[in-house]
Amino acid sequence: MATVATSAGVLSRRVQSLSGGRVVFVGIALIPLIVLVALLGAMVWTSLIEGTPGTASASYSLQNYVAVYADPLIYSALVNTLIFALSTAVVALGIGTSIAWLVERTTLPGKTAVYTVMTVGLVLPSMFLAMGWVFLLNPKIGMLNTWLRGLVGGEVGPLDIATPVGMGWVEGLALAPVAFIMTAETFRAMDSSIEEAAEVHGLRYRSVMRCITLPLTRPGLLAAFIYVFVIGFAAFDVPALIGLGNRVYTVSTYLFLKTNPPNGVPSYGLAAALGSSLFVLAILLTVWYGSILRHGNRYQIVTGKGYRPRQIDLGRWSALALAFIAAYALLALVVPLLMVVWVSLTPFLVVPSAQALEMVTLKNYAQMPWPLVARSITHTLLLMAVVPVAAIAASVCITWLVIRGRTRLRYLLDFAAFLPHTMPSVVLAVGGALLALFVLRDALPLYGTVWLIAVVYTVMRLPFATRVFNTALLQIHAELEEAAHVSGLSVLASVRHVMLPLLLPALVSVWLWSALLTYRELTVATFLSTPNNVTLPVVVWGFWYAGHLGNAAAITVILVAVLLPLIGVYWVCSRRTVGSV
Amino acid sequence: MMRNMIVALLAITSLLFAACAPAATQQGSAPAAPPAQGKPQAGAAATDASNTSASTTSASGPLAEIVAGAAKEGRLSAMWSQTTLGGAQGFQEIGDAINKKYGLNLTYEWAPGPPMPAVAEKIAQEQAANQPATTDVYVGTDAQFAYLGDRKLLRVIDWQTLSGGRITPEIAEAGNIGVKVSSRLVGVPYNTNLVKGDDVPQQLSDVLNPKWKGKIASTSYAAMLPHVASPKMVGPEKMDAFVQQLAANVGGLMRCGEEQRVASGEFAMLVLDCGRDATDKLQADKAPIDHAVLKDAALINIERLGVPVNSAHPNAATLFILFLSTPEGQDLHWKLDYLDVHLYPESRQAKRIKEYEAKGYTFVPMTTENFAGFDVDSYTTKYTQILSNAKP
Repeated sequence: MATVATSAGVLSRRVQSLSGGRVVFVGIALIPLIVLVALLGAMVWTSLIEGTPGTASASYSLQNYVAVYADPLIYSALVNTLIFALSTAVVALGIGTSIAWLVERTTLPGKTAVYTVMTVGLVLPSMFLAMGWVFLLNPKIGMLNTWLRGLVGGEVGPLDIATPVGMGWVEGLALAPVAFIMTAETFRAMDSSIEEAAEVHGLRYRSVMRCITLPLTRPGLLAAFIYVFVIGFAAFDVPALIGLGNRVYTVSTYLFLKTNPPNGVPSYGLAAALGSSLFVLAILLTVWYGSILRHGNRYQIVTGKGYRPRQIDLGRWSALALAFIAAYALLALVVPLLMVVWVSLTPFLVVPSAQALEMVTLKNYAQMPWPLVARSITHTLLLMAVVPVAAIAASVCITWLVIRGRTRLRYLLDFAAFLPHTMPSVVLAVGGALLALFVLRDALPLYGTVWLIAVVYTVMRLPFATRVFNTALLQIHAELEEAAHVSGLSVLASVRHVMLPLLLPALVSVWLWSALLTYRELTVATFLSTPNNVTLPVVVWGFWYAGHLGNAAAITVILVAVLLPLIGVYWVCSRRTVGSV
Repeated sequence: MMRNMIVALLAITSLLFAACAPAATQQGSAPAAPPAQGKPQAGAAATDASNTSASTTSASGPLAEIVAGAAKEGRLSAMWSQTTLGGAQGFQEIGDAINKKYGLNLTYEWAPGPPMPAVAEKIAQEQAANQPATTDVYVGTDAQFAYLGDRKLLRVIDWQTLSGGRITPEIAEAGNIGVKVSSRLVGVPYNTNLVKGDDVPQQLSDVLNPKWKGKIASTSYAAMLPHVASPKMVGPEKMDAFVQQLAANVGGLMRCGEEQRVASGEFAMLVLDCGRDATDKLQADKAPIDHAVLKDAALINIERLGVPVNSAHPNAATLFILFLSTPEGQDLHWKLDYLDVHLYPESRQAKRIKEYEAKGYTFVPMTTENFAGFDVDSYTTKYTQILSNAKP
């Protein structure tokens, strides 16, 4: 009883210490986290259930945990997943960070075009990127392998894309834009005066990079690495398309097999048991990231005194830099885009050749199910409009409390915000469905609506948004807000007039990228999908999964044709509006 | 500029809110009617004029009640694979035909769905939560119908009476929980550029020839192999040995419906498929693919339709199934999918079967009765593991 009274007293003092502004921040930050806790609760609950949750056949046991770790397949899947995720992160960071540095810290020409290219990378479903690489590197029908077979002989080509490293290469190409946007923020906000000082003191450029630039960007790079690594860990489409058929399993495809069995009941409990186990990974990664945050003040380089990013003159190296970006665009965009166009114009899957040109037809476009496509586009646009706004509102509040807060609870808050990223999407989806079905029921009839998807998506977008805002806010010195307080501004007013304008480039970036990630999201939507809330990726995946590749490709071509100019216009407008976004 | 962008965004959001509001309301409506015994609860006798055209329906008696009930419900929602019943385009085409035949103006909404067991599971959960089913019509095979039937999750409907006797007890699913809608001929689709003449498989052992090592595919879920293992066909021991050897020969796994990968030359053949209709569609597009039924694995894979007890539009769902059982419906099904039920007198699939039978083939239809007492599920798990774990 005494303990309860003491806790209540501590809580009361904490609440009293919160000003009105802080209460608003805490309130907004808590809403998605409460949903997250509910989803986690549903996950743990599901992991302890045998049979169909919510029905009379359900019983409680640890059988799901026993089953998942007794299955030898899970161990090979885990090893494959680690190799795959590591390869993905190395490729994505290698490409994305390099391009981000070129765009933000150098005089590279055509930056708006580069931003557009990197954005389009997210518009293309990864399945088509994977398909493009299958057509290039499939040992039997891959064009590159066919050519190599002609040179070295043999029945199958020497290169094989169906390996964890091969899949990591493809996924890395697909995720390079994510690494790009996360690290671009870091490079953009850097104060180059430190680098200049080092140069004045005689350090060569390579030494400046090693001793100044890279250490200063360490939190941003690590955040991006952790983020991309975890995406790789949970990635489904590339491993499903390339690995599943070749019996190279990752955790995501393992979960897919268990939740989509050929017979009997889907093993959602097994997926939840595995998801619960991944808490360990979440804790390790978040503790690592948290240790960087604890020394965050070391990286505060945007201060009230002389914040002026400087750009390095590339000179004759511009051509090489542009060639590097063009090579990336060719491998990650042009090849898959051509592949998509090709598939949309052929009646069945056929390797591109002069002979195959005779088969070209517009049948896939003529047979487009427009009512379904229109319905799914409406739902997708709604999600793209609502989810980023909700995620940004919550994330800004979380970030502010984490970076500017003094209490140790901020680490817990940051941990919670990162957690959804480490949970398998299918587990979040199962949690959302169970909550809507058995807890909310008719009190808040979300089940089967697009709003249930929006709620889960908002929680899922928190890690990305908070990582970007954490990085951005780390570099904005607290002295700016302190100066605002001294000048008589309230917390909310100082946030509005000081912090938000400085965060504006990050806000715009997060909005756009959250919208695009929402547009791409597949697993949750597939699980929660009904005819009333079907989204565009579900339709594309549905066609793809059923073997109607032509239909899937035709929809994608139309979307890219519509979105490409819009994205270009967006970047032109936003760069004019907020400067160097 | 930024303010304008935000205003525009808010405006778009408001419009989308407005556009999506009816769907949300629809889903949040009261749960579906309780399980019907005998026949679905028809709507009010008076037909909602907004959902019927000026022309009168030709239905009478119990069917007229179903038509009136469907008119009152106003819509039909469904979820299944794009390969089933013509997918999105087919569902709309069937819907248009129903509206025309019965003088209705129903709205048809379809979405691509997960595999059949996952949809069955979804229906079970929704019923447990007293929520409407995701799909008004369920499509599945014998295993899923057994699962749903055991849990009394499908409406028991007097199909014989409603169809005027066209749906015989043999065509209706045992217990009247559904109706057979498609008979699919199981076999081996093969690439005609890679498999020619005597290489075309005639029986299971032909695909074990070492020359096919790494060049043939199987399905990731061991489709149809467990049924062939039943004592009525090859038998478990022989089939166990066959699957072990097949796993060593298989170069990759795919899904039924992905026969394009055979046509592209990635694989020489698929052992076994779910039905030759996928090959028929590719052949119509002049793809280099053909299909061989194996003498010792001549199965008829039968798909059924049923109405979940928690269907939000049970009358429209019943009408949908009844229409597909009519000669007109079966004809449309063939046009969309190269499928019909071999038990109807006018069936084109039945003609094909007879042609095979004349050559000495004996088909085993995948009915509950034919596989009673044989644990298909355990063999599915076993063969799936063998195929999944084998190294190419």
